[in-house]
Amino acid sequence: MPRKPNNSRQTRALLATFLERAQSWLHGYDLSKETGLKSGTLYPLLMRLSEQGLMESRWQEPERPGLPPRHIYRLTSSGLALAREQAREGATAIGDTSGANTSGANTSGALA
Amino acid sequence: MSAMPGRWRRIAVLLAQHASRVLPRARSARSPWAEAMRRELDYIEDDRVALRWAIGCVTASYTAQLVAVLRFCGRLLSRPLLAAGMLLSVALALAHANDLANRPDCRSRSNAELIGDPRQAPNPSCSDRHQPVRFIAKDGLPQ
Repeated sequence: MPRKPNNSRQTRALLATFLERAQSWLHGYDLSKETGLKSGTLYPLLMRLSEQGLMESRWQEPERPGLPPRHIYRLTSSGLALAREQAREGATAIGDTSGANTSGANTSGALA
Repeated sequence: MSAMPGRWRRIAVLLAQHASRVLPRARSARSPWAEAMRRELDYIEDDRVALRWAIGCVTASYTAQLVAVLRFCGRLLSRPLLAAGMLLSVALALAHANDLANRPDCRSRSNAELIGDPRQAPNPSCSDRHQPVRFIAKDGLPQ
């Protein structure tokens, strides 16, 4: 069975972080702190999402003098759609699991 | 951040520079990703965190380089080219095997005859030490 693209745990975490702050531009270091991903994992993911047209990037002028411009990132509309779809799938999976647990508890309760 | 960068910071900067050199360039222009990773370092206050970040940047650059090489090889070794290469390899192997089969090899043939005729094997006993050597022809009669 072929593997679904952009479905790794790390990519899902990244997309979820982007989705939480859908309208704002995020820095690489902020993304790393929020997702817990190291730069060695984060940047290949960002590059791939950018190549696939799911994420856009631009340079931001520094807020303080003496610092260099910074690269900032935001999901495109297709990226947001994918992030929403994954969030929905995740919620459904959690719902199914809790439903199964509830029914299991009911069954055990009925047996008791 | 102090005016004089610490040892960890200096190593981090060197690693980030190395990472930006390793990262594959998009068409002759410098990759924006290399710059992005390198400049992010200036926004990290803690030197040790900066070093960890730089090590990650090196990993990311080598990963991207590996992906680029694999893609290039994938394009270069398209299916028809791979099939042609395999056919050529098989043909060369068959030709080599045929050449080996037709090559006269006298040494191995005489050895086979020696093994096949036990009378030509050396006598381990000492009884015939002073007897003249007898040569036996292929038909088994003494010469």
